[in-house]
Amino acid sequence: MVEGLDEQACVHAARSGDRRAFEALITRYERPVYNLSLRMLGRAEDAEDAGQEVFLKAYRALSAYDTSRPFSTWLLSIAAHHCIDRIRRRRMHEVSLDALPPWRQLAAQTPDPEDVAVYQDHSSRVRQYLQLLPEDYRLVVVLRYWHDFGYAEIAALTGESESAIKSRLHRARRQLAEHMTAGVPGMPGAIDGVESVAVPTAGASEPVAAAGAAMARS
Amino acid sequence: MNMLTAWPGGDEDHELSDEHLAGLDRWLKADLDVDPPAGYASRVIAYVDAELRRVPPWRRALMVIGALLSGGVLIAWTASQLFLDWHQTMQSTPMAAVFLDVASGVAVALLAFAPPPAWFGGRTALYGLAAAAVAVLWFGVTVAPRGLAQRAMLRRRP
Repeated sequence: MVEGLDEQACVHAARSGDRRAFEALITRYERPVYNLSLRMLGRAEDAEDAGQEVFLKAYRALSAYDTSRPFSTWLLSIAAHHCIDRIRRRRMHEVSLDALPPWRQLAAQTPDPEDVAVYQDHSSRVRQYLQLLPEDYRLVVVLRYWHDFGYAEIAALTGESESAIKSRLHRARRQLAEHMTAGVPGMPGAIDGVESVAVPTAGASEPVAAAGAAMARS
Repeated sequence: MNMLTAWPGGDEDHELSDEHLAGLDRWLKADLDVDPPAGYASRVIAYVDAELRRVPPWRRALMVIGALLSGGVLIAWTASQLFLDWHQTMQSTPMAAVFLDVASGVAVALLAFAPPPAWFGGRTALYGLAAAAVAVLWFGVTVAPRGLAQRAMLRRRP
């Protein structure tokens, strides 16, 4: 029954209390919600927990969902806000570590052998660099790069103006580039020089640290 | 054309003229979405179900307080019926009787619908039986004697 329903029908059914319909929505959106949480929070366990809580929040707020908006945008907005809240709560519990600059926070964590292996992975490295950005910068980058949000949508989500979002995205890129140029001391596989990171896809093989260096100079 | 230029609202061409920034964009874009862990959707569904069934802490606390208060009334009312012979007095003050009956009824209802306390070890059926036993006891001790007293009074009337 539910499998054959389109998204809006699923949403309507879920709003009227059909749990199977909501389960179908979970199955459909587990991946984007999980990936947004993962890039925002940086750790797989946190992303799993956050995803669960996001879907629970969404279920409880279904009656407030405006059906004229895309469901995906609404759901990812909930996820984005939830991740920001979670990061801020986490920071309150990590006051001593937060007193350090971001690269020192990473250096202060002792990487275990498993982490060392994971850091070789491009995806993990991107996540790690994202964690160096302030959460509001990180959110803009994540929504723009991986969820195809337009400036207007991000502005509506964050309550900022479109021009503020544009400049935030620009600053976020510059900061990313600076971090990549500086590298992350104490982290295996960190970018120490131009040759250490290359884009792992065809046609996109420029060393990114070079990009970082150039941007940092500009 | 870089993917970014095709984005909605994108007036990033001036930025993209910088080939280095384009490199950074490509590096970020090359990070593809990962699959959630196996069985993640099922875990999320189970979590949502469990959370929706769970009684929120504030409501649980309210129920405990309500149960304690109305339980106190129930005990006082029962004791007064048994030892102070109030069921005779109550016939002359029907409003008081109604008030105490309602309070006792609330106590029994709270017992019946409250979640089993931790020391009950989650044995919901046993807890339900205990609540039903309390309800029967309540009826037997407080309502039945009043009915009997009323009948006795009627019998005594000339």
